[in-house]
Amino acid sequence: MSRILSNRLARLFIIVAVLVIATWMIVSFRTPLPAIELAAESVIPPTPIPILGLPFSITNTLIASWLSMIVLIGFSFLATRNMKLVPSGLQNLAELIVETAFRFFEGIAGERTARFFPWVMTIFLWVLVSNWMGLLPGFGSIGYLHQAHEKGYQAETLLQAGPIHLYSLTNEVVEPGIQDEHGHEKHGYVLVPFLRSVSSDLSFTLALAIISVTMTQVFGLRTLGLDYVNRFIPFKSFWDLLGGKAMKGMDLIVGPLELVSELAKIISFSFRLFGNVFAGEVLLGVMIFLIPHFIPLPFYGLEIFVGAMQAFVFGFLTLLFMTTATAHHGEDH
Amino acid sequence: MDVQALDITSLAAGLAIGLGALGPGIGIGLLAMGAMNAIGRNPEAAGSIQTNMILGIVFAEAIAIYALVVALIIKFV
Repeated sequence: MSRILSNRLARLFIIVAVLVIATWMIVSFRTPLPAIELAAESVIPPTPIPILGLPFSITNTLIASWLSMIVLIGFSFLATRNMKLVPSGLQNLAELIVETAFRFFEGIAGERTARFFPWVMTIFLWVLVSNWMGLLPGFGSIGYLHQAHEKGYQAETLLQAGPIHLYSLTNEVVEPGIQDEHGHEKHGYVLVPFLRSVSSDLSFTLALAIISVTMTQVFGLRTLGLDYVNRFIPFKSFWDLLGGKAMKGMDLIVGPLELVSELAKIISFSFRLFGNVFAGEVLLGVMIFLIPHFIPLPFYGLEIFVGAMQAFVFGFLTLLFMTTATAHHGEDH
Repeated sequence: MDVQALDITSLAAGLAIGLGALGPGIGIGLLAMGAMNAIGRNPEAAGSIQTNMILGIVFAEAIAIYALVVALIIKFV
């Protein structure tokens, strides 16, 4: 009896604590319009690599992608640490996810599923985890203040403990050249977040797209060999054309088009994911700026859906392209 | 307003994505309509119809994404 009571008390305490923290945050934090930055911001200043001379910097999206890797690797490590024939706990969950996905993919790729599965599932899970992690509180909202070159916001001290200063941005816009009452120039600040949704960086989505399209070519070449090359450079059609079969010569026109469409895949893959996630970030930022409390919730739900949808689409399309690349010409007829 | 410094890049970016989203929007609407009709006629095939509908939507959406790319280039590059 007393245990149930203490359980209830603990729950009540947690609820009260959450409410107090939420009220404190609502009162003390303002939400300025986020600085919309297309490229990922560097968390440490770019430093040239000694030998190559290329600038190297750790961006906030890179840190977020490491975090999502840690989550995925940690989960699979814990789930497979002591595998049993009759699964329980995390292993059960992992098997459920993998088996459901495998069944679904089998409906499209058939007997070739097992070969494509590692690539497709890795892409799906990584994009899913990174998309959903990017929606967590703290992503895009905690960082250090950077003095703005153009329009910035007034910063106010929130907390001061020894060498640690915590600031919060206010809604007050500071244009360059404005002076305060003592004649000093006022400085506006913008936030450079420590973490940012991974897919809102084109480098990440482009890398995934290149991996996906390259592996499609590799699978196609391995399965069909010269027949696969014939799709793009239709050398076989020359003989058909010489033999008077004009309609077979159509391949001469279709081949280069196929080649272009392979390149277009990279563009549409990368920009689809990037566009959706980046637009989602901007949408949420602007909504929170306009009406900070409760109203942005449906949009948050929408972003959760979009994140899952785009992860599914990326994996699904990869699987589909791999399946068509390994299908023999005219197999369906 | 200073007429000499009139900057219409924002307008250009807005028009690029606004007009570019028009066609794919109609396309996705048609796709969903067709899929809903099909599911209404044959509810057992809902699973495969849904998958194919999503596939079609993804290709229609790709056009809107090209417009988004153009808008982003106008605005930020």
